[in-house]
Amino acid sequence: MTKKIVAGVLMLAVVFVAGCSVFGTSDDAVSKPKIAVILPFTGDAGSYGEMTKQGIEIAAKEFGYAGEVIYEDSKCDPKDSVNAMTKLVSVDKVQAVIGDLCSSATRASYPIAEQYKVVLVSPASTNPDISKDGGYMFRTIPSDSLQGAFGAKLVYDKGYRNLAVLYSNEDYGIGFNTVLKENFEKLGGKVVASEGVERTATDARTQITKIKAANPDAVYFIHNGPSVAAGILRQMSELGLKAFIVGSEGLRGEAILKGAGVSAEGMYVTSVASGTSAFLEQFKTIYTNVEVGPFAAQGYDAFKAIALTIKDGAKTGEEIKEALYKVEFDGGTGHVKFDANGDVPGTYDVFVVKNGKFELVK
Amino acid sequence: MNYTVYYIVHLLTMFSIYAILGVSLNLVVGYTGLVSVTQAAFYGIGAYATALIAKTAGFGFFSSMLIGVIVAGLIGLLIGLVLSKFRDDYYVIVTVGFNIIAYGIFMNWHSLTRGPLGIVAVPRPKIDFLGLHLDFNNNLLFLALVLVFLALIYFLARFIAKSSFGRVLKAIREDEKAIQVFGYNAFYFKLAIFVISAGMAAVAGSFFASYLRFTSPNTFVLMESVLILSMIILGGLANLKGSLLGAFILVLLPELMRFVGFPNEIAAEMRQIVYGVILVLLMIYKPSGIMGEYKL
Repeated sequence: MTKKIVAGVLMLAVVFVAGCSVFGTSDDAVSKPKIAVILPFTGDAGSYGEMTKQGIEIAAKEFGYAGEVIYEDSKCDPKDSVNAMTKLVSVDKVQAVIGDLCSSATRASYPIAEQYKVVLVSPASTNPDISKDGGYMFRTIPSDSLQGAFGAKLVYDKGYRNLAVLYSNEDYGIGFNTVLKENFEKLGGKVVASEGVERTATDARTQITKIKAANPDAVYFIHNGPSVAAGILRQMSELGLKAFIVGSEGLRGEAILKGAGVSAEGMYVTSVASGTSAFLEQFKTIYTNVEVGPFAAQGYDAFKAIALTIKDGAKTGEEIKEALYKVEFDGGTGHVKFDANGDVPGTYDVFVVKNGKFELVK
Repeated sequence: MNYTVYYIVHLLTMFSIYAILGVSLNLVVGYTGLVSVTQAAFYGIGAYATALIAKTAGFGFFSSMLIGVIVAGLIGLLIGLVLSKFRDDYYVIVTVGFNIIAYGIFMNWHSLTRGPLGIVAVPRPKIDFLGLHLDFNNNLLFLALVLVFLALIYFLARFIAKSSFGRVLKAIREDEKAIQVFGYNAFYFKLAIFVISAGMAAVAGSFFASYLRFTSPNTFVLMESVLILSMIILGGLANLKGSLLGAFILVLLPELMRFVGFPNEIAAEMRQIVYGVILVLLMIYKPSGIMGEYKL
């Protein structure tokens, strides 16, 4: 009997606490439009969420939003992202949301944002299809169609003609791979192999063996799960794949350097601009012991764009949307201006791994 | 209407979808004693069938749902035939295998499923019948529709459980050899309930795809099957009300955690930890589930 009571009390306590906050917050008057963030903070993309959040926090402080931004975890799962989005638009009544990281999660939650006339600004989803999603969709990161073209040119200009692609089998990887292949062949190169690997699969030996058999002189490795990608890089050198390796932006992270060790030496990484020098300075003053992560500057820009429109008097999601198409500013990634699709033009950096560190290639 | 209601409607819709899955799986695991962790595969087949047929062939929601149920039933029949060769622990492992195969197909059959890109803009149901115009783009109406189907499936499952057919299933669970001595062919009974369960799970899949207007393979991973199994174990095996309760708790708990007010820096992690701890506590204090009538 006591067991039943304990279990019952426990359940009730949880429901009570939760219930209080559901109904406690529901009738606030809308004075200042609320901004929320949906990103993965747990799960295999959790580290990206944290890094993006650092950039968002800097902008939040700058615009007097410190402590007022609502963060929700999506684990990069479309279903969780939809749950979070529904909660934010209905319970918290936010007017603008920054998120999600993974393209599939962004696309799943966007229809809700549009239905409730809430602006969605993704700092990290690069799938080309997102451009077509609708008027309330913006992003501060360029579409993959641009990085694919940039990457193809980089490999071609370095004198390599036989390229193999190892991509993570998800919308990000597939989109990137398609554009890369198209552009590389247009330049006159040849894509000799193109292998997909599940994003969470730690063993890619089969695919690497196939790639090795095709005898490429360069391999483009497209992945955005750093801990998994580090293992795959190690497998490449174990299997004796001796080609020039280029990684996508997902491979620029501490986890790669620590996890892959010498296997990552000499690897090139193409990455969206990690930030202007002004942004990097600002970042260092706040986070003294942390390297700037891949989407921090994009997160900063996403928040700044929204905050600027609010500062200019936009109150509802609809007004923020209209204002976002007009807003123009110098942000963390450079000059930011959204086009008619809510996209930004791309600027990319190239890094090389030298002595266990990423060095910017000019 | 108060905006908060929309969130509650959303959560109730998610609960109803999982309740259908729980009820369907309970027939196999709770009543028949076959521990299956492949329910997400049938869930996915239903979702993809509806999404693809409604989008490309232009069929209505209900006919594409019906096709989904039939496809899931047929595949359930094939899988059930293979599964009849196994029992106990081996049975569990083979069902795990099927879930992984199904996920692999959703993920890699690009020309059909668009792989990880998923299928966007899945239409919502519409009813135009005898002057009745119902557009289920309204979430409240959609919830009502799912609840109607949940009720149908619940009563169908209850009817099965209480019928002589259901008594044979329970007998198979308790002692398969003994019931065969009485002249019942356990093979057919196990196969039949597996196919029925697969069809029911496909109904949940249809609703899921149409509700989110989006479907992608990530939803139908092995962990989803484990989640559905956890729901019915938590709620109580061989008790249909238990399945509803289990779905209710496991769908709402992680969402309620969003409101506990953990500090920003650790909120996401704390949600996962507390969720886990509550599950562990419940299993310690109620190992047979909250309303369980049978223990694995």
